[in-house]
Amino acid sequence: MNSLKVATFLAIKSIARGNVRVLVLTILMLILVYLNLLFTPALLDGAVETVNNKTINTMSGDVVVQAAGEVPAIGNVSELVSQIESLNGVSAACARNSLGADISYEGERATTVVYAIDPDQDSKVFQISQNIIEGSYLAPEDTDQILLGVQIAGNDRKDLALYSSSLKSVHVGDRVSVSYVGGVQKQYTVKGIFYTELTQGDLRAYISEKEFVTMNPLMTGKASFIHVKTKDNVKLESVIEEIKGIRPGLKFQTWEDFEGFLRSMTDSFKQIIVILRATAFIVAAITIFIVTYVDLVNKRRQIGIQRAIGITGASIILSYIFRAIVYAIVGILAAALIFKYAVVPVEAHYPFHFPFGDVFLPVNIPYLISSALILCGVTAVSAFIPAFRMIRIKIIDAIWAS
Amino acid sequence: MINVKKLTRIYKLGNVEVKALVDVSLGIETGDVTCIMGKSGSGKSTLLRQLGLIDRPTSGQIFLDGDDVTRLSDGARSRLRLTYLGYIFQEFALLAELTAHENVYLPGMMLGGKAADYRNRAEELLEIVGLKERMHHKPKELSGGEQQRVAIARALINNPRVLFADEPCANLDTISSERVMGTLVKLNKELGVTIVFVSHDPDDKKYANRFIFLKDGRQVPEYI
Repeated sequence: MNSLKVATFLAIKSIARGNVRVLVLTILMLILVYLNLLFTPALLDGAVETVNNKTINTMSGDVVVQAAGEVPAIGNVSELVSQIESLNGVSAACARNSLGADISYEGERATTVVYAIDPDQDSKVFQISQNIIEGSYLAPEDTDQILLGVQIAGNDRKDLALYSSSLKSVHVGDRVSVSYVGGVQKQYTVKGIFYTELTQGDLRAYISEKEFVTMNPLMTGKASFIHVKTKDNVKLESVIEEIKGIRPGLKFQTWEDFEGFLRSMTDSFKQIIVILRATAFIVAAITIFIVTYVDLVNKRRQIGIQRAIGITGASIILSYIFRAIVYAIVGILAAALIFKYAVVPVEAHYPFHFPFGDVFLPVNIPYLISSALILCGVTAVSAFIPAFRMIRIKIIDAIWAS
Repeated sequence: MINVKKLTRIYKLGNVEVKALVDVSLGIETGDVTCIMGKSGSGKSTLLRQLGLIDRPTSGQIFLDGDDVTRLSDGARSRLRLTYLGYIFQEFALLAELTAHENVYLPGMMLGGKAADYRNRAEELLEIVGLKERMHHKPKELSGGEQQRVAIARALINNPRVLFADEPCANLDTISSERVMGTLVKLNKELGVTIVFVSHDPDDKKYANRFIFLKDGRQVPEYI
C-alpha cells in the first residue's frame, strides 16, 4: 500500500515537474499511434462492411435457398416464399431463376447471367431498384424489356472496370439481342441500367418472371433460388433450421458462403487489420520503452539514492508504469476525440472511393475500448521492462558508477 | 550497537582485484559520534557503505544490535535503511523534481502513517536544520550547504538509530561546513542519534568522541 502511495506520488511529481517537451512529444506519439490504430482498421472495416452490405442487398440476401441433389429447381415456390415470409426472423423473401446468356449490341458481345424476377417481390429483398442510373426498374408485366448492369451495358463510361468487355454504348431504349444457353434467342428493349458499384453485381441482367415463363413454360411455379432477407440481429442458422422444418431437402447458403472471391478479399482485409494493429502496438511499445529507458539512464543516480534511502524497487517500477499509463490514457482520449469529432466527420464529407463504393469510417466502440486497453497494457509492460532492469543494478553502481 | 568482524571488500575492475577494505573490525556504541578518518583512497567511504547497508562486503560480518545483517535480502536491507539507518551522501543527493519539504517526507511516506504526521515531522526537521522558510524550494534553488542540511533532515525523518554521513562537508565552504557539522552534533546531543561520519580533515576530530583510522583499506591506530 505504501509502495503504491509513493509510486503515485513520484509519478505525479515526475509528470508535473518533468521535461514538458518530452511529455508533449510522448503524448503526441501515442495520439498518432492510437489514431493509426483506429483509422486504418476502421477504413478496412468500412470497406468490408460496404462489400458485405452490397452483396446482401444486391446479390444474395441474407440466406439463399436452392434445390438439393439432382432436382434442378424448387417447386411450388409461391407457397414456400409465403411460408418463409411468415417466419418470425424473416422480413421478406423472393424467388429467382437464372439463365446463362450472350448479349450483343452493334457488334459487341458480352456473356452474362440473366435473372428472372418478380420485380415487386424482388425489391422487398434487394436494392437494385434504388440503383437505377438510367431509365427505370422492371414492372411485373414487362415481357420484352431487360434491365442491364452497367458493367454489361458499358453505357459509354470508359472508366468502368470491365468497360472493354462490355457492350460499350448501350443506353435505355436500345434493342439488344440475347442468346440463352438453351438456344432461345430474344430481342429486348433496355428499360433501365443499374449501377450498384459492386462489379460482380453489375455484371448481371434482369428480366421479368412473366417473360421467363413464356420462354420456359415448364418452369412455371418453380425457381432456381429463393433469397431471404432477415430482420436485424437474427441468427441465420435459426432461420435456416426453421425453413428446413417447412420443407426438407433444400440446400442453404448464407451471404458469407455466397460472397465467393469477395470473401477472400474481406478475409485479407481482416488479416491486414491484425498486422496493422500489431505494428501499431509495437510502435507504442518501442516509444514508451525508449522514453522510459532514456529517463532511467538520466536518473540512474537519483534512482540509486531513492533506493539507498529506503524507497522500494516496487515503488520505483510502479511509478514508471503509472507514468506510462497516464501518457497512454491522455493519448488515447485525445486521439479518440480527434477521431470521432474530426476524422470521421471529414471523411464522411469526402469519403474514400473504392471500386465497390464509397467507404465510411465506422466508430466501433468495442474495438475502440479493446484497443485502448491493449495499448495501456503494452505501455505498462514497456515501462516495466527497463525499470525492472534498472532496479536490478546494485545501489552502489547506480549511484557511483560512471 | 554496531559490531564489525573482519570486514573485507574487494572490487573487481576487469581482471584486477582492488582490496578496498581488509579485515576491518570495530565496535560503535549508542550515542557515539564516530569519525572514520583516512586519506583519499583509504577505504573510508567503502566502510561507511558497508555499515549503511548500501553495499555488501566480500567477507566478514556486520551486527546491528546483535543481529547479523550481512547476508540479509535486498528487501530486508531496504527496510532497515528506511527504519533504522539514515544516510547522508557526500554529493548533494536530493531528488531534483521534489521540493525540500517533499524530499524530506518521502521516506516517511514510504514508512507509512498519516500524511499529516510525516509532513509535520518534515517541517519540524527543516526548522531544526534552519530551512523552514525555504521548504518549498527545489534543490536547484538551494545552495550546497542548504541542500546538505535538507539531506540531513531527510535522513532523520524516520527517527533512525544511526546516522551515517559520507564527508558531508566535502563540497561546502567553511561557514556551511561548520553549520552542517554543528547540526549533526546538535542532533547527537539533543536527540541522542548515533552518528558515524567520514572525513579526511583532521580538524573534524573535534566533533567526534570515537575514531577509526584507515590506511590502504586497513585499520591503523593513528591518522597517518
